[in-house]
Amino acid sequence: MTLTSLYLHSHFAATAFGYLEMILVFSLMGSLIASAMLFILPFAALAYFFAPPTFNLNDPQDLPVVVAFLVASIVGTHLIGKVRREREVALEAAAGLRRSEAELRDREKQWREIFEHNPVMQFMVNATGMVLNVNTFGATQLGYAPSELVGHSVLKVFLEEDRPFVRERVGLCIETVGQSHTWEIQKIRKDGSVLWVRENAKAMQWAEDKLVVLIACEDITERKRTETALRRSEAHLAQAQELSRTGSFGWNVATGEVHWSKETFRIFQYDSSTKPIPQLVVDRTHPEDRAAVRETIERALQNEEDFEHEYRLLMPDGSVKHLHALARAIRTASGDIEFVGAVTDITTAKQAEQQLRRSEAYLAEAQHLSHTGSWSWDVDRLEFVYRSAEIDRLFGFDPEQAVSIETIRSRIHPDDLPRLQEVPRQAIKDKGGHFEYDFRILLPDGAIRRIHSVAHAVVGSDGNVSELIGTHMDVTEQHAARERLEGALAALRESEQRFRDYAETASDWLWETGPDHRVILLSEHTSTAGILATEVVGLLRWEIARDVEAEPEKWRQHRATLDARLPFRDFIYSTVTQMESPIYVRTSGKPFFDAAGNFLGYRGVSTDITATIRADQAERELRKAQAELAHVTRVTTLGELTTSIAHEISQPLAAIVTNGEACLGWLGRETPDLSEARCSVEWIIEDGIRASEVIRRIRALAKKGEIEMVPVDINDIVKEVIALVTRELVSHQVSLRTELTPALPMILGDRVQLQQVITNLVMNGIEAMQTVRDRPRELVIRSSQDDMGRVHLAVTDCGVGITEDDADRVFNPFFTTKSSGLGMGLSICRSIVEAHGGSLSIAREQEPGATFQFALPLHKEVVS
Amino acid sequence: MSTPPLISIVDDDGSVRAAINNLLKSRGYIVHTFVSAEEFLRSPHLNGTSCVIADVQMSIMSGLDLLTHMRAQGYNAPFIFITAFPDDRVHARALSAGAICFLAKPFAGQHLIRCLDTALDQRRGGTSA
Repeated sequence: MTLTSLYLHSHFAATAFGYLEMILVFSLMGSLIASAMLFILPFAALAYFFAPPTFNLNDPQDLPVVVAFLVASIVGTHLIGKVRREREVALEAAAGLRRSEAELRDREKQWREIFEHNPVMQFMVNATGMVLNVNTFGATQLGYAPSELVGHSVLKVFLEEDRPFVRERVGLCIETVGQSHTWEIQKIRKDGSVLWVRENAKAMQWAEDKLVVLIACEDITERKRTETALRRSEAHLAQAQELSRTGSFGWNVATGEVHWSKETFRIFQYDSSTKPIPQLVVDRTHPEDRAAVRETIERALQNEEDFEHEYRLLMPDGSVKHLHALARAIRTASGDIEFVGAVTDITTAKQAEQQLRRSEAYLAEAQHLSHTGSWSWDVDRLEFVYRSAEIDRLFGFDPEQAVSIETIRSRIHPDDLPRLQEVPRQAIKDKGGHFEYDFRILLPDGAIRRIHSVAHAVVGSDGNVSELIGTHMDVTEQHAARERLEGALAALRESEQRFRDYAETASDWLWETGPDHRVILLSEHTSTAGILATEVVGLLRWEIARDVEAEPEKWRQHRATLDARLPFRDFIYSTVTQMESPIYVRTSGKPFFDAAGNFLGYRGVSTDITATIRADQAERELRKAQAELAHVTRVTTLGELTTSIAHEISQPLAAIVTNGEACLGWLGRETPDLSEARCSVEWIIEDGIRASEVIRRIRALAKKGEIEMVPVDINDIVKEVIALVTRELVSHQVSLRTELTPALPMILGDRVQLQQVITNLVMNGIEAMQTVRDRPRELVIRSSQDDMGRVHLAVTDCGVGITEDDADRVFNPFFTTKSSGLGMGLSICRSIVEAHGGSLSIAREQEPGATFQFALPLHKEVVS
Repeated sequence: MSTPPLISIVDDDGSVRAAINNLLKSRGYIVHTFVSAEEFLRSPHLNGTSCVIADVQMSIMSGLDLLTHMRAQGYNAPFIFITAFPDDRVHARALSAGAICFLAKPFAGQHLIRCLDTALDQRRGGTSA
């Protein structure tokens, strides 16, 4: 139109329409203010670009145009605006639709996500229980993929026994649509493990009138476990409280709120339904303890501090309970003070304590009575942890006073100390063990106490020995008793052995004869002697014997003894064995009587002493032979001594004759000297006695007779020998020296035989010195007593001596170095000395010469 | 009568010594007795002795030794030997040594007196001769 107007040169119209166009264009822009501005702008622009305003409002010509323009522009703008608005609304609506569709999708997805990943297991099942849907979390929790569950019965995730319940629950939900139901149940995972869930279920209407049940499950396994544990620990606590007789309580002072545990009620014997108040405690408290209890509690209240006390309760039945209460003051969140504590019934403990105290007293008493002490030794600290009073008493200490280890040690016998110290070492080494050992205590008064100790090692938690616990028992008495017993036992054993030896070796047999003296019984031993019991029983002893005729006197006396019913001992008779060999029997017997005193017979023992008798006989014969030989030797010696004997005799004879003539001389004087004559006669008598003495000695030596063992003094015998050999000594120019110890004890011997021995030794000595020219010939006779109390006699010469070879043979019979003589001398001497229980030996210590010596036992020894 | 002769007796046997002493005293002799030859030799009477009666067997110094010793010393008192061991050998030696008598014990007193008389006569004669 504008262009048309321009074409038409209707400039004005064109301009107007140009403006209009521009207004309309800009009106499309929407904003009223912008529109208004744009309304003005076209004018300005037109006016600038095209022409100054060609119209004038004053110009009426233009006015219609202006009005038209104005109307057209307003209407046009309005219409354009309206169209534009409508279109915008339509566009907006389309965008909104699109947007809400996307949002819906998003939300569904979100919901889906939420559904899938909600940490709550979500199940959707139908009325039959088939899983319609399950979230991933739920399936995963059970170890399944959702696809493994969907389409299957939900029951598969429940325990067999729970399935009816589940069915019933689902049914209940179906019946009560819209109502939610909650229950707790266990579910089984695919792997079989179980978890506790709390299920919240509700049935809802689903499309097409179908009902579905939505189930949300929450895993409460942990809670269940905690709950169980809690319940268990609560139960344990209750049980512990009951067992330990400890109740707990809480008391909020500000609110007056009091809580008691079940056990507390029980302790105080109140019904658990009673409302606990502090007064209940006071009511039960023993009247004697009430003040103290009140005071303790009041002080705790005042100072807001912990308290602990022991007090008694007086129960309704009159019994008394001992309690121990302990409470802690706790400030609550609200700032109040609350006492939380425990009260323990310690009646049993109290009783036990009393009992313990009593039993400790008993133990101490028992230890004292049994002399047993107990102790405990700390192996690390090396000290006694415990020593009972009796230990101190055993060591001789005052139990009231402390003693150091050193003091204790000083009382132990030094020989035993190492052993004692070894015990802990061994215990530590063995890491335990049981020990028994003995040691001695040295008491201050010097007495010794013997201790038997038993100990065992206590092993600590680290496996090492921490302590030794043991007892010391005084076994001094037992030890002494045991020693005595052992001594007695040893003696008993010895004597038992002795009797066994006797019994085994004895040839004794037992016999019994009746009132008529006939043999009734014979023990089995007789068989060893060759006598058969059967052959002897019923016989009289003198019927058994074979020497009745040979020795009638012996038998007469024996029968007299039997008739007198006296016991007899060592009656010896001969008989024969069944082999007819003669045996000697020695028998002893004693009569026996019944209770009324009636003679019943004899009982006794017999022994076969044939061997002894034979030995005796042999010995007697030997002695006889020896005596004869000795006699022969003596006679030989006498022969050798003839000159000496002649001298010994002729001396007194000469004196007698001379004195006799002197006597005559005194009498023949003009005045007879009677006094001298008398004196002469007295000398004659003396010399006569002297001569007869010599003859007696010679007779004795020549005598062939029985050996006569009598107590003799060896010095006397020596002197007699000297009397015999003096001349022999003189004639051989041998000087004799005697060293005789005075007052020697007596010996038992035959005087003549001992003289013979000494004479022989002296003669040998004289002979040994015969060739000696270069030194004085000296013979020494010594008598002495040796350490063993035996009497010694030694004859020492300084002659040629004895060669070593001869020394061995000198005592052999027929050994001689002399041209004359039988050579029996020393052999006989030795047998004589030995018959006297002594020994004859040769000593060749001194040079030159030899010493022959013999030792004889004392008189009393021989007798015994 | 002049001073009686002095007789010395040497014998180790006490009873014989005493008996001879007794006999000679009863006959009026003056007698000295000695237990041993050594005692006699030490005595102051050695010189005045008119006759010696000695035992042959004595320990240490025998009668014969005494005789030999005294002769060697120049004493010529006569000797009478008495012995309990009458041995021919000894007898012969004694006589050859100058003994007046050799008497075996036991001897008769008269025999001894005779021997003594002989000895004293011999001595008197000797001294007078």
